[in-house]
Amino acid sequence: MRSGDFLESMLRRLRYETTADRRQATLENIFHAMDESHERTPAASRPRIGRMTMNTRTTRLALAAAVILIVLGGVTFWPTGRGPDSQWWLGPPAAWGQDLLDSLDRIEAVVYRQRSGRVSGFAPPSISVGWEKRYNAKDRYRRDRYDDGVNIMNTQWVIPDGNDLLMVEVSYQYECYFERRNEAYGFVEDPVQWLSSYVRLLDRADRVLGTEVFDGRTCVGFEVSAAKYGDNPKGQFDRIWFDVETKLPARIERHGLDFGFSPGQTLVIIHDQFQYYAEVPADLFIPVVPEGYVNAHPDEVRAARDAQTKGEMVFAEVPKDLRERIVAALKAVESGSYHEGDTGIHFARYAWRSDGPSTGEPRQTRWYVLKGALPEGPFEPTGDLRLTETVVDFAERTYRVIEHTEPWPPRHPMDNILFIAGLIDRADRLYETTKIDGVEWFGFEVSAKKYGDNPDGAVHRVWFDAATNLPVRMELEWPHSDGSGTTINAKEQFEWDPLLPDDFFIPRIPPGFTPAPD
Amino acid sequence: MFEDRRLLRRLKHGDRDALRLIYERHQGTLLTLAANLLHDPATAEDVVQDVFVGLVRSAPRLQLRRTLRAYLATAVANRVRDHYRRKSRERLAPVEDAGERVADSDGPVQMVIKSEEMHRLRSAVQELPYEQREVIMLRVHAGMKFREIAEHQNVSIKTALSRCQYGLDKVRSMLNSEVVK
Repeated sequence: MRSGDFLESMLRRLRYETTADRRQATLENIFHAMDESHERTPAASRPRIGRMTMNTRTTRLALAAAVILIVLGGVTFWPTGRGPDSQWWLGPPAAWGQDLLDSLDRIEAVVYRQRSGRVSGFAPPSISVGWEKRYNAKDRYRRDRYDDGVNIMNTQWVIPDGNDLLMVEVSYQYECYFERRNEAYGFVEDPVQWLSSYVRLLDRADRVLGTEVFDGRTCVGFEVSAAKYGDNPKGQFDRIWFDVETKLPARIERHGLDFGFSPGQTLVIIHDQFQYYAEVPADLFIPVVPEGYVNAHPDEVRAARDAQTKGEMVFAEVPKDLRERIVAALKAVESGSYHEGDTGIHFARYAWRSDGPSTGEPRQTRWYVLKGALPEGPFEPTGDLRLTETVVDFAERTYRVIEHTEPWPPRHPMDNILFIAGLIDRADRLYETTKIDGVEWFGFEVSAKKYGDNPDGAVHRVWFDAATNLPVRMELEWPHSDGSGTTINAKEQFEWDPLLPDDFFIPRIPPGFTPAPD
Repeated sequence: MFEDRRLLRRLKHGDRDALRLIYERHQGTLLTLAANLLHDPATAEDVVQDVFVGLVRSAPRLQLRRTLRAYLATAVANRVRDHYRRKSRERLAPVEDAGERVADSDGPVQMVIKSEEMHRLRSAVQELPYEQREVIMLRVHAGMKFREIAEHQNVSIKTALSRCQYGLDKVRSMLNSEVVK
């Protein structure tokens, strides 16, 4: 297999060829064009492709940002004159806690990277492609958001302006900017206070995580429940690593945060690549609005663009707690089964399978099993939690085992169900509760254009059992690109927490079956 | 990749053998890419020929920033977009859409593997929005990086990745079930 994904492998086989005669005829035509071109073109002209690319706005900004970081990197402040005490963290916190606070006291500004990760009971953990660079001084703040480490999407500054705090945000993506004064945006957290709060928590740490090396520096980690410093729900915790030598924070992870948009997942926020400065590099905190940018919030620009390309969007009045009730009901489910066309889909946490056709003897069964566990150390998904797909073709008497390593592996059915059901708070309209065959149902429909690049006319419809708040039918109606009609994909005949054999999700390759040819 | 650059240097000096070798190395991939983007094999052949003609004309001043295959694949995708743009203008007049009829005809351009499964797969791919189809095909057949695809589509890399995911999810879904309204 050239790729772990069976579908991608099939797509690769979707190849076309032409006859040898046609290839030769085409080649002759190209030779002819080549001869003509040589007759007409006296000399090679100057190459321009590289220079044109360098002149694009985003590239210029990215280069400027890179230059700034390099300059800053040269004056990075690391407290010196302290030799690494051996395993100081094993002593009583009272002894080394003050040392950590003293290290922080020398700091005027902190620069660090922020990324986010996702954890789900239904999929391997993942980490964001995009990230932020945050510059935090005692009374001012700047944030650069990158989509993939190269293209800068927006920059936000919060700076003192007389007695006010002024926030300026520039969106390079939407070529606009806006300003706010003394609003929620204007909150600047003193980095020393922020990081000191973590130091003060250490005597309440749940456990020591041992040492890790980040950017060539040895660091020691601690884990502490978030409930110990605030009214935070169970399941939220922080991991903090300190540089063994400088005793300054080197990495902070906040686990178990609510992931509003995708209720099947929790969020991990990761701060790392800390740089500490004894002086504030002032020019970083001067807002710069590129010429020609309009004064507007990016949401307004985006809404105007969406209205042009996707049409108007309508939103129904949705009861406040309805989404929470549905998500809670789904999260309490341990397993489920449903039909999609002639395929039966069954799932439990960390495993699912599909049987086609769903009635009679299956022609093909696919098992998907998630193996491994979340890392105990820093949250950097390394592929330890892997998805293995086993395909048994009963007609061909063959099997195939696929280790999924691609960035977007097949999704756990529950991940998809939770995502779609969670769209209820963006519904176009709600279906009123009705009684059919003695069962009360309610439902909603939502235009798929409200997320991603989906076209106008693509619609999700979901119906729920009013007694359980669990789906009974889910539809996706998709318009044909040539305008000839629509296709409806339906999930139906749901069974929640069905009785399934213990070994139902363990792949079984019957004796005598042979590996499928690539 | 180094071989391509060596061939390109020779092509800049008018070496016909170099052109033949470049054509033989990439013609199959480009034809597959064009046919999957267009669903019209006859036009796909024209597109591939146009791309190579464009290559020989621009070769003297061409400086590659990436692989030759990625460059040629992007050129195919650009020409396919031009084709659709022209076609959408022509639709203002009552012109028949010949694409689907040609796709199943016995022309010289044929699918390499013909099976019910592959025909279903082709139909599912046809139903994808063009941007999603383009990301998947540039990724799968031209081996382009998401960064390169994002640059071609003038979107963020995140959008290119999402388009790929949504597209693959839809193809999977369509292969599992199909109820036509």
